[in-house]
Amino acid sequence: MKKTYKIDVDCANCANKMEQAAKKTEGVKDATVNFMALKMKVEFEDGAEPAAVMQEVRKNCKIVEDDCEIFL
Amino acid sequence: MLVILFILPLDDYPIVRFLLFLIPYFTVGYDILRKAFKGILNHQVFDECFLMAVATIGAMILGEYTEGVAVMLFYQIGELFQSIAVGKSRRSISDLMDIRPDYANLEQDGEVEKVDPDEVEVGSIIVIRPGEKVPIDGIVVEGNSSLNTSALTGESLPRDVKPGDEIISGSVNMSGLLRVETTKEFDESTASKILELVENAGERKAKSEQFITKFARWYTPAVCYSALALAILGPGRSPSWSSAAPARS
Repeated sequence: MKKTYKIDVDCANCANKMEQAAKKTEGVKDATVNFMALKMKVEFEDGAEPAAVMQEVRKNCKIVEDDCEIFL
Repeated sequence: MLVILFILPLDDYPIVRFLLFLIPYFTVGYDILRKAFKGILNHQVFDECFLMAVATIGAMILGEYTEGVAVMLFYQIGELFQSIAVGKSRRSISDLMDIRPDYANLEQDGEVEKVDPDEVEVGSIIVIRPGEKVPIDGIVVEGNSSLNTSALTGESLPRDVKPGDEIISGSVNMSGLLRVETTKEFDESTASKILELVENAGERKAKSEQFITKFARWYTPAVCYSALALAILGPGRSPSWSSAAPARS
């Protein structure tokens, strides 16, 4: 299942770090961050709960890049 | 403030000079120091902010106050340029998004009704008045007009259309009323397809972008390590710190 979220991120490198962090999160099959359009598309594993997984993703992103924000 | 501090002859009062220089240093560098600190807390030690923090703290300890403030200042200027450039790019992309029409004038049983373009089925008749955007691809059934296709094709000369001509969504109807029979659904129409391509373009990375992503992950830590190595191994076999510091005259 794929879902798109609105994000706020300042620099292209930070967007890359967010993408890497999201990909490593459990329950996430694949993630892409569109820096220009400020969108993040996440594909979830089968049986994963999107709300819970996104909280984990948000936490991981905050660790690598404090200034970013994901609007859930 | 930096200029004032430069001019004032405060060499006789080193402590005062140091404290005064701390003001611009922290004003410009607070964010960077904070990010470096947070990076260390989160085990992301070797990033650009850490590098600059180490460099400027070292500069301040050595007494090179202007150097320390200058590094922070130039970094912030660079960040400012970056946000200006990114803001401009984002605005031009969102201006492009404006080619998508918000409504369609659907003609049903002789009455024209303003509806969501999603609701218009293939083969229905829509009315496009002068000044409106063409919402869905179709064939002109009645009416003569010129269309402004510059948003889609960049063509500055308007395109004249008459009954039987195909027209694409995203163009702007200029002179006459047109009645059009739709040939595609809204999502399959030209304007929507273009927007979809633009939005998804950011997801597939170019080869150089992929290379830079991998390179960036190794580059900053490598610079940090080599700077550290240079500091420790550089001055020679018996590093004597007092002789390594620049003489102040």
